[in-house]
Amino acid sequence: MIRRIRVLVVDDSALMRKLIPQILARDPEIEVVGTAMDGAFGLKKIEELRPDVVTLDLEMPRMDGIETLRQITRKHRVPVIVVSALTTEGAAATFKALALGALDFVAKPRDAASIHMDEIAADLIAKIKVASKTRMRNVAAPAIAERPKPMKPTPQRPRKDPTRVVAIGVSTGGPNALQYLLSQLPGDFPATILVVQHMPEGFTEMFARRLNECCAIDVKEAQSGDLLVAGRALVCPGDRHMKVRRMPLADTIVLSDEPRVNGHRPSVDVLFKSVGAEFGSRAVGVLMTGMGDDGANGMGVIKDAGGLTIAQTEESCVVFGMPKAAIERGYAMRIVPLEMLSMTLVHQCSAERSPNAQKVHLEL
Amino acid sequence: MNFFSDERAAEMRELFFESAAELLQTLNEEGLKLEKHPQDGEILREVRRAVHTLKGDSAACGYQELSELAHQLEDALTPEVAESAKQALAEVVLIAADTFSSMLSAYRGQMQPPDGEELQQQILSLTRKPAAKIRHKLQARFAWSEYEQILIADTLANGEAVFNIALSIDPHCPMRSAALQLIRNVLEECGRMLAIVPDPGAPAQDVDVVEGAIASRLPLDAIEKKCRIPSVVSELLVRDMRAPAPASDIVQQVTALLEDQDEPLLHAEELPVETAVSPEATAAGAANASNPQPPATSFSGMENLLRVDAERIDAVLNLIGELVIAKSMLHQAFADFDKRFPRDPLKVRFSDAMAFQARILNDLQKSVMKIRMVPVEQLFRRFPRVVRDVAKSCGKEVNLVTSGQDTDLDKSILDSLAEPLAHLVRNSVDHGIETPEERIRAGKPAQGTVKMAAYHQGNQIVIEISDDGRGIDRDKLVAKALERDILSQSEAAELNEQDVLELVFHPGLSTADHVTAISGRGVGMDVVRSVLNRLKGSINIITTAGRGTTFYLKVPLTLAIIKALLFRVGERMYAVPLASVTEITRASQSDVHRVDSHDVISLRDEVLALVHLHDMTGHGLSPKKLFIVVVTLGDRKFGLVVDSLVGEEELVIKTLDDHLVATELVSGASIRGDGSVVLILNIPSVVARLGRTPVMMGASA
Repeated sequence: MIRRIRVLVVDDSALMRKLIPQILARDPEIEVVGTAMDGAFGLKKIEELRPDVVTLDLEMPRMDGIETLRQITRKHRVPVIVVSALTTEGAAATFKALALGALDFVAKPRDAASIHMDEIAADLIAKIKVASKTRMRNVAAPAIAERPKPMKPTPQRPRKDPTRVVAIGVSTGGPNALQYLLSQLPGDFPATILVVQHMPEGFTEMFARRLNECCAIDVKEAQSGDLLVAGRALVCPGDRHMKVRRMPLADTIVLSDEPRVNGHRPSVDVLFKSVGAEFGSRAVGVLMTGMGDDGANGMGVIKDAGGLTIAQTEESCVVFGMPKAAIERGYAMRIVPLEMLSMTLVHQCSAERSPNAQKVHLEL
Repeated sequence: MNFFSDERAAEMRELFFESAAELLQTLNEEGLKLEKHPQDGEILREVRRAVHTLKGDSAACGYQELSELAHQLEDALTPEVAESAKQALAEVVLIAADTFSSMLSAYRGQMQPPDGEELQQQILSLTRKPAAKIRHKLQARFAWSEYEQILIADTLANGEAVFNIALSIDPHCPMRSAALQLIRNVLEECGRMLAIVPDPGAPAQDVDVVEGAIASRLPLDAIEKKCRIPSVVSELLVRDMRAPAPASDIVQQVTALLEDQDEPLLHAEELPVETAVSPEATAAGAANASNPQPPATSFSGMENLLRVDAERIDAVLNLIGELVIAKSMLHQAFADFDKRFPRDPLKVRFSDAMAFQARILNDLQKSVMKIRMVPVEQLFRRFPRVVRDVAKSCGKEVNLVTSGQDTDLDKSILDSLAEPLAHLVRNSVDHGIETPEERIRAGKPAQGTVKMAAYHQGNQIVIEISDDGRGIDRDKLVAKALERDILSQSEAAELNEQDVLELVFHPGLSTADHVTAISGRGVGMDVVRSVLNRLKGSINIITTAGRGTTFYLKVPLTLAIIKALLFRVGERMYAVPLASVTEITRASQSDVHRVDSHDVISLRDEVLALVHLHDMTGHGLSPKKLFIVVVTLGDRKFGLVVDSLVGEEELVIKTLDDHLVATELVSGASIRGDGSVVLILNIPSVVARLGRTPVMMGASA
């Protein structure tokens, strides 16, 4: 008989302490071994019950989730999944938690009677399974925004057309990996970056804001009509799709509410396919850590269009799902560890190496 | 397709309503505290946490309206807002508690919840800066997307004129989508459309303002003239973008515009986002996070809290009841054994084992009883809010003092007491306490005091509600009773002081000159009394004119097992709670005197009214020697005449269904070890029916 994944639920709401175990009860591989009403009990119960995974609410009386998480990472090294409420402050705390070593987060269950619940349940179950297989690693959280950087002066740099369009697709384990990658890029990075991170609606704005604080390049949540400019990353908002559109005066992005693709909105495939179609050889697709295979086919489109496709290596992924799918389908032209990704991008996107220059070179 | 089975979902909802009630309680309490200390960050956090949990829970159950409101409130609960709003914030929190509460009851009844419009307005007025209140002018953002901005810049660079135009749609305009289309057409007539918000695809009904950027050769006033579409456009703003500022600075110009207006503009919901990330907020958050954890001892009390359905505990209690019966069966068997084999050595071992068993059973029973016990605080904590609201609505200043909150009481008793207590407290504030002017005239402090106290008294719990108000006016009471034909003149003349107070409990008698919304509703004093009777409790009043009134509510610790005195009347065995028995005495027929159709005896120079229980059973033999069980009811004494005494015993009360026993005289029954059935008398009803005291006669007529 298989050993079931032992989960501890820490939440101050009695309802959630009932609801979450009932959601998890639907999966035979998961067993909720206990619940705790706040951080202090949570820590005790971790010691007592030795769970494989902890789900953690951040807003709790007495010992709040962040402090609890600090103690868990310091003492117990149990993978933690944050169950996060959708508020500005909730989102801020969530990213702080991720920076502190929480493996991932899910949105708090909403509307038990709706289809929402199925998605949330599937998300939570999948993430718990991933978490149970992850030994908690020392999160090499590089430029953690514990040191709040003064707000960058509002982007006043001259608008420069990007050399290439780098589309990044990422899911589970993404926030930290993305922060690592983007914080390594120089402020004069000559390409533009478009990010699809699987993330519930409401979190992306805070996510982009945090990234902006710790990166030399500009990062913002994308809005329809935003321009593709060098040295900037646009993060697709949750529950929208992001595509590129070339307009007479400039290249822009367009957000849309089309149906989910691969069960996701935003979907990496939607972005990749659009970038591949519009920018051809100037397109770069980067598929990073995450469950499932969203983006794998999009990598194929970019590759066929003459662009460059890069998959993150297995060792550097929290979940080697999406990159693996792209590699298996033969769509990944390069396989690069997280630590090397920024260098690769800087190199590939430099003006000299931009596809136009390359073409000249080839013709020689 | 539902995610959960109906049963599960129902269970979940039940849990939701239960914990939501607790959250509302917290909200009420903390709201009151916040009213006194509007700047206290800790209280504010407590409020926010409650709102936060409520938001999450209600969202999980699919109660969107509630969740949405809670969300808005949560975002408004920032230290900055607390700073600027002062007491107003507490007021909003209390209004929120009420609004949430009515939404919850609507959800419970599966009805459409109230829209919470008032609360929404209140929240908005909190987050809105004061200046905003006078604003009614059209506000425009002209928040063009980056591409639109360069398009405008490019157009300007080509020497064309660009106008930013904002039009607000007349709120009385009936057909929104037609109006929108009309506006778009007009804008297009003005020139080349560079940008327009909202998108043509957006739903029309939510649109109040249309903004556009037009490249046009027309002069500004011509555009203005064209755009003033009567009865469609109520306000208009046209700006020539060929302003002195260089074209590349449009972004700044727009931001400057925004700063000028100093407002969330058309999107009020964006403001909390901004305030929430201000440095103070983050600092407060950090302070929260770095708070030293409370000492380990502080939570040992709540370590293993279990939430158990009361029915399950009742089931255990029931089994224990059976065990108690089994125990007395064993004792009787043993007594028979003892008679038959007085010298058997086994006897000692039996009696040891039985003593041991009896002790354990006793402990077990006590422990289970304890599970049912909850501190009176659970009840008392509702009252600060009640007192505040009532006092506020009748313009009085009232301070509530509670004591003995940790006194334990059976949960079911506690629950039944909620309504009566609420009635008494409302009465105290509404009728008892005088207005500040009256009080000062009477030489009392302007602020009145209502006290609630709970304490043990023997096997009973006493709950006192006292006020330092004007006291009950006896003359007024009698006058009222006469006026309403409750009393005749002759009866009135005979009443002693205590009898007069009894009138308070008469249905349809309210001393207030006019029935107010506060105390004139729901339960009356007669209902208060009947609840207490049902609980085998009692209520007494002590009042002093000008000094105040105190109500004493006495209830048994528990309803499940009582110590009782058993006696026989005729063939039947009856019991009364031992707590109400003061003494047992004997008298001969010759001691009985007849006064005004009452049988009385003189007991140590006191006149004791007799109650002939024979009247109940209907056979009227009168032995020469009478056993008299003296019971107290309120502060009167009555003598129950019985045939013989059986003894004192612990009885496990089995409630009788209403259709089983069609009389009020009996409040329950019990089975003894030998299988015999005992009926437990409901003393107040027995006295009322058979005792024939004058006032009671009126009451039960």
